Amino acid sequence: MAESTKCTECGLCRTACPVFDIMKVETLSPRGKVMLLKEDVKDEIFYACTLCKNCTVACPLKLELDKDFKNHRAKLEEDNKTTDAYKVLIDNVRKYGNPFGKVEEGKLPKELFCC
Amino acid sequence: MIATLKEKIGDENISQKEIDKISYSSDASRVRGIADSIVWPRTLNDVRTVISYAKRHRINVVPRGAGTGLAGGAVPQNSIVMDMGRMNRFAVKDDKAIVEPGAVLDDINSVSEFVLPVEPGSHSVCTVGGMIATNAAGMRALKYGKMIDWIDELHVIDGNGRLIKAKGEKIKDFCGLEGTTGVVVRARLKLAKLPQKRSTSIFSYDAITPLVEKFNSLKKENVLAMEFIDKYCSRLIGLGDSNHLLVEYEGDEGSIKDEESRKVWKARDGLYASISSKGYIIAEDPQIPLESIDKFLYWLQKNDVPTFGHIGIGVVHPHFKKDSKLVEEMFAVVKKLKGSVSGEHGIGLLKKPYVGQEFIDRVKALKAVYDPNNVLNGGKVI
Ligand SMILES: Cc1cc2nc3c(=O)[nH]c(=O)nc-3n(C[C@H](O)[C@H](O)[C@H](O)COP(=O)(O)OP(=O)(O)OC[C@H]3O[C@@H](n4cnc5c(N)ncnc54)[C@H](O)[C@@H]3O)c2cc1C
Repeated sequence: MAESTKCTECGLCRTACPVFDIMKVETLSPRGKVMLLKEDVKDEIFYACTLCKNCTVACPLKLELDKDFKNHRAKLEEDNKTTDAYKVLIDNVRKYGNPFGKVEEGKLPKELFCC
Repeated sequence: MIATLKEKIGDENISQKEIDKISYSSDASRVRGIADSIVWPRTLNDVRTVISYAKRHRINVVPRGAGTGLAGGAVPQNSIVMDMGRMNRFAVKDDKAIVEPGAVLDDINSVSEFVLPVEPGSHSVCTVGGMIATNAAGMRALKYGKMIDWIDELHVIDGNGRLIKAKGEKIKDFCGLEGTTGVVVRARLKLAKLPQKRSTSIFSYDAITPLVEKFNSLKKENVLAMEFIDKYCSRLIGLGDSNHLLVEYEGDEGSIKDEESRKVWKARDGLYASISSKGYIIAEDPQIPLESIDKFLYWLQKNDVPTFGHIGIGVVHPHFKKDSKLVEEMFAVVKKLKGSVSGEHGIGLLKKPYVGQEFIDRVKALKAVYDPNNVLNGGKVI
């Protein structure tokens, strides 16, 4: 059973989430994303998660919500609904073995791509 | 229409995106409502602007803190949800604090030895605005009372868009009214030092009578918290197959100390979610006169209603499955025992059918003064 189906929506994960902590938007909190999962919403918001597992630490039920978010990203990928940044990142990993693209020896990457 | 509001409070502080409407459609009660839009005010003026806009366009506004309320108080009814999370500044000086409503309790309590000692189980996330609006209590209410006991002054924007500075008796017009009379925009709070030395004892009993006898015999002066945990809940947190009384002492009278003691209380913090995950998603919070608490606990035990709570002040949390007929029966028992419908979570949407006429009349009278157009949290409480 998916972890999110067991979520009681108590909200105790909110402040543990580094993304929520900065933005203060419920949709970006683990609970907010669980509510979207329950409605099977396919949106790039699922990339706004660092997969840090802090929500699991804070969760009274120790739910591993990051697993659900990761699985959902796979579905987004199937439906071609990933972010542009993510596409570039994956391309770079395939081509150059790193997410930054071609980086010259001793130089910093020109563009940083993160999921 | 919403464009005018965007212009006034800034594009980044308002949303009508579908994903936001979904995530703001509920709170910890899990009752789903409908959000028209979401706003994140940053200043008192933003709050006033939104309320004036809502009044003009006859839209309902629901103030929202962390959305940990268990009575559906922050669930929108075709409303503008006003998320107070970005108004979260606070300053602590000695035993006083000035706070914005979106400040989180544990944040306020992390900066000094003086703390706001009212501690709901949601202390790591709940906001001071939500605590004021619900008149929150919690684990240490026996010693430290409820939120209302810690407020010196409130600044509130009412449904007319007026800034009201409430002190003394006037605080009662807003504290515990769940955002139906005004939006708290600032508060001056009293703080206290928690005793350095604290310890815990756990007493287990098979039957209710000796547990209540023990409860009555405990010296109240050095007791900070007293929690009842029934057999079902005790099993869930690994305490075994009895009813338990969890007692926190000021000083070292208790047998469990330091880290071990913290672990026990952390397990107690997680009880709500554990029970809820077993399908008991309705968490009630009646307050029963202490002299009748034994009768109430018997009734709950006889009907297999999983229960824990702050027995020290007579507030317990019976849990029910969705659509359980027992909820109504329980409130009949509460009435018979001269208890009140809600000791701390508030009335919200879920407990409206059980409130008395006296309460309804009081809320109506306050609404007539502070929110005659019913802009604020309409459909709640009464
Ligand atoms: C695990 C868990 C344990 C809990 N334990 C306790 C407990 O021990 N004791 C207790 O009392 N409660 C407890 N609660 C309930 C809840 O956490 C408290 O009622 C808390 O004070 C709500 O704060 P909030 O910021 O989440 O408010 P919200 O849930 O967002 O809002 C609650 C109500 O306040 C109104 N409101 C919010 N902010 C404002 C504002 N600025 N101005 C006007 N109105 C406003 C809302 O409209 C709503 O009606 C618990 C909940 C959970 C999930």
